[in-house]
Amino acid sequence: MTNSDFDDLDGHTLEELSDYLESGRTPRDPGIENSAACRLALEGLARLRALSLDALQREADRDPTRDDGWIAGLLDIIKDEIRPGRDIPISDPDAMTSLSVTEAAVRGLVRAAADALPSVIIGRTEIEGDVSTPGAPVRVRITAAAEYGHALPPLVEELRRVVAEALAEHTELVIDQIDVTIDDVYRRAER
Amino acid sequence: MLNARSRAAPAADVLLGHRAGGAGIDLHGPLRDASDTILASRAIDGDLVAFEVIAHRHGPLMRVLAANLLGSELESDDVVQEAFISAWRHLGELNDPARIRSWLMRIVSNRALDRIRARRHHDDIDAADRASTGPSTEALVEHRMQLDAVWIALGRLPADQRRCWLLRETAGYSYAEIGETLDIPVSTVRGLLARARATLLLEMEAWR
Amino acid sequence: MTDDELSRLLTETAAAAPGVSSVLPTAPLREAAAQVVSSALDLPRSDADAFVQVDRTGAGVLVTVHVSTAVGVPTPTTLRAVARAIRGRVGELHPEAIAVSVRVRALHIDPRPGA
Repeated sequence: MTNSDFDDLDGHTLEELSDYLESGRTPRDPGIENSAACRLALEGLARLRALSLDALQREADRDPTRDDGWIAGLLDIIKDEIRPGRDIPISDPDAMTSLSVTEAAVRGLVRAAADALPSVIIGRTEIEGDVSTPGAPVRVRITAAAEYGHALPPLVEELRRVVAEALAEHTELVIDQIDVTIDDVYRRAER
Repeated sequence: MLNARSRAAPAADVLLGHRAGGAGIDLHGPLRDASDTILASRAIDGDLVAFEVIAHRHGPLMRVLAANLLGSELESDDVVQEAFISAWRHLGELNDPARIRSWLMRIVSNRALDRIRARRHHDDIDAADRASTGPSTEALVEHRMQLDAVWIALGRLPADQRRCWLLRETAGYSYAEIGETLDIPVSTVRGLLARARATLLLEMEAWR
Repeated sequence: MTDDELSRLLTETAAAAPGVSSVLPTAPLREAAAQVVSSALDLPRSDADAFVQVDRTGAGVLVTVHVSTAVGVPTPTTLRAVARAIRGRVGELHPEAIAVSVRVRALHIDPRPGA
């Protein structure tokens, strides 16, 4: 290959082709698409884009153990910055005592209960409704990924059951409904 | 009665579910298999463990990007840590959890560029820019020559061309955004990208 | 007794309540900043952490406790036990306090079975 390879692009420039590629090759430009030189250059540009990221990624993968120090430091800094969310009251007979569980704690409880199940990984946990008024019905919405090859209805039922049990044990929330949306599928990595 | 200090101290370990002396990453269980979307969703909800998995998964790539933008590995760990702190504080603004990686790549780019701008104020920009971190030749592997060729060619690009290219191709900046962050006219960005593109393409094709 | 000493004693009291996994600082940022300052100046750290917040309100006292509860005990049971223990301890240490308000907040429910 020589320097002249991308000089003759049937009247187009590399920059034009790059812009065309970024627009997803739409609207279709017959002048470019019908030129062998342009199509070759487009192919090269697309590969170069992928290689740029791949080259960084491979460099990053070279020493996978290197990063531990800064991650420990990072976690130490941000651990105190978990937004507590709303306060969810817990009753107490003493009028001078006020007890509560934070929304963040309850979300964490829901995640932990679900994480104990095989074949499912929970994503978002949302608690909808007036959690600060005792007795007010609330709805819990959960998204989750299911492991490939498992029937969904029993998984969803099991998920609902463990979440309902955990909430009943650790909060006084009146759960109207638990909505579970399976929006992803994953495969367990070999190890 | 248990001593209050021993029970009260390891708050981070409690929140992370780490056992004393244990390495965190082995305890992430199912999260190792989780998609970026799931991890980001959980992190938005305040799940520190999910965020830790994200840091392990994408931190190394962000560090390499930062080192290449800065032209130095010295500050790259700091820049990546800053980027993750900033990301944690602004997770609520991440509208599409599936795009967490490109979102993080932009944040780390911004942080690296902040450092470059700060350097300019110290008038040692030239020295810093000359200290480029091209990969060493021992990094060459027999196969994947093309990947090596691109990596080496990237390292040999002038610093301004390399920055423009990485911001455009790995962090998804628009021409206007690159111009704004590097404080150069968009026409200059176009020119730098055109030169980088032509050089890299030729280097890559040479190994076909 | 200073509020700091009282806080330290009440932190011990809360930590000893059944079902408590750990006592967490009520003002994490302030606590962290204080730690940074004391380590920068190489000052000796206090013997025990003072994580319980004590606010005096005239003749009354407001005690605020943040805890991580263990999943093995129902969190409402744990929180009530903490409140009762705190109330008892304040009564012993400050019998003159007329109005003792206690706020207990679970920031985290520790999923570890042995916690």
